[in-house]
Amino acid sequence: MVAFVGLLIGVIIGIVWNVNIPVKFSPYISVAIFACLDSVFGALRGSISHNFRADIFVSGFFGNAALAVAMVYLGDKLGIPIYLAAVIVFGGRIFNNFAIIRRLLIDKTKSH
Amino acid sequence: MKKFRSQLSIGLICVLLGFMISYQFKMISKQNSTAETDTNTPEIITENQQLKNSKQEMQKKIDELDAKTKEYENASLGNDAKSKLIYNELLETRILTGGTEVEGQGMTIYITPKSNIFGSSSDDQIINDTDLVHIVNELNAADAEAISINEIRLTSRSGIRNAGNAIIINDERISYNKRITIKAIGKNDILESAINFPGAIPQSLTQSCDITMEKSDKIIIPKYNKTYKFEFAKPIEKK
Repeated sequence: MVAFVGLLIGVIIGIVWNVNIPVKFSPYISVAIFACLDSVFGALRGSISHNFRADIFVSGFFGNAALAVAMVYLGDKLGIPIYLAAVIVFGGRIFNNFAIIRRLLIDKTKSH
Repeated sequence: MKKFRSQLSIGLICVLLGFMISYQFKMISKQNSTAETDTNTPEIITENQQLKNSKQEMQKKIDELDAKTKEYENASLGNDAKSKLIYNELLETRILTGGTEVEGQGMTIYITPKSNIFGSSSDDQIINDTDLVHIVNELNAADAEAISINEIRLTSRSGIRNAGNAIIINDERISYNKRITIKAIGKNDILESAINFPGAIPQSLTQSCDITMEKSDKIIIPKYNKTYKFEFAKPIEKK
């Protein structure tokens, strides 16, 4: 519930507020979004299986994003698309988490 | 209390995530729409100057031609057959030299650079002058009667080459990472089969760009907007 309200507020802020982040940071934000989505899915899974911990979620959210951004930067400097590693790993984990969430939810509905 | 704090942190993080996602969406859509108009000011100024100059020259040429046709008409008013002959010849010569707008069946080729979201290579040259020369050569070999690139008419004296951060054709600049339109008038099917023949379009170009083509029964190709000057070439008179 809180998450949805927060997401909604964030989207509205993003649409209404006209901040200027230079265009060259665009790929960084893209990868950071992916990292954040990964930790959100992780949190969702945690909350469904009742072992969610806020501190792990917060540190993972910012830590993943920072690591992904650092990878993009490094890849840019070295001329190797390292961001692909981040994209593949986070993408894989998102699907993984989603699979577990699915299983948990189905089990829950069946047990009722 | 602890529960409240964790809820608050989740809420804040979701605000951040929502902001980032919507901002990125907005920025990418903005990027796509402003990419067309994003040119440097000095470039625009020089381009403007060039356009003005060419327009003046064009105007001069139009006046000149008008005067000439009038002269011909006046000179051969009494002789109908002769004047018709001269007039027809003039028309043909004009088509050959690109002096008039022409229309007819033909085909259009669109070369659209593939967009790269991780824009590290956006400054690279995507379309090469040699690629265009190659395509134009294929079209000419397939009996194209008139060819234009981005509404710039190609004539027997047009060159296509890289210069600075653009490709220059007839002293006009076209960008090498925006869409390029090549129009050709000629027999539809022959042109199409020539372009579809393997190797007709350089492989490097097909990798970096989306190439689409369409046949049409009515293609309009603009006229050449410069004057011809022959300083060195003189006709040899046979005795």
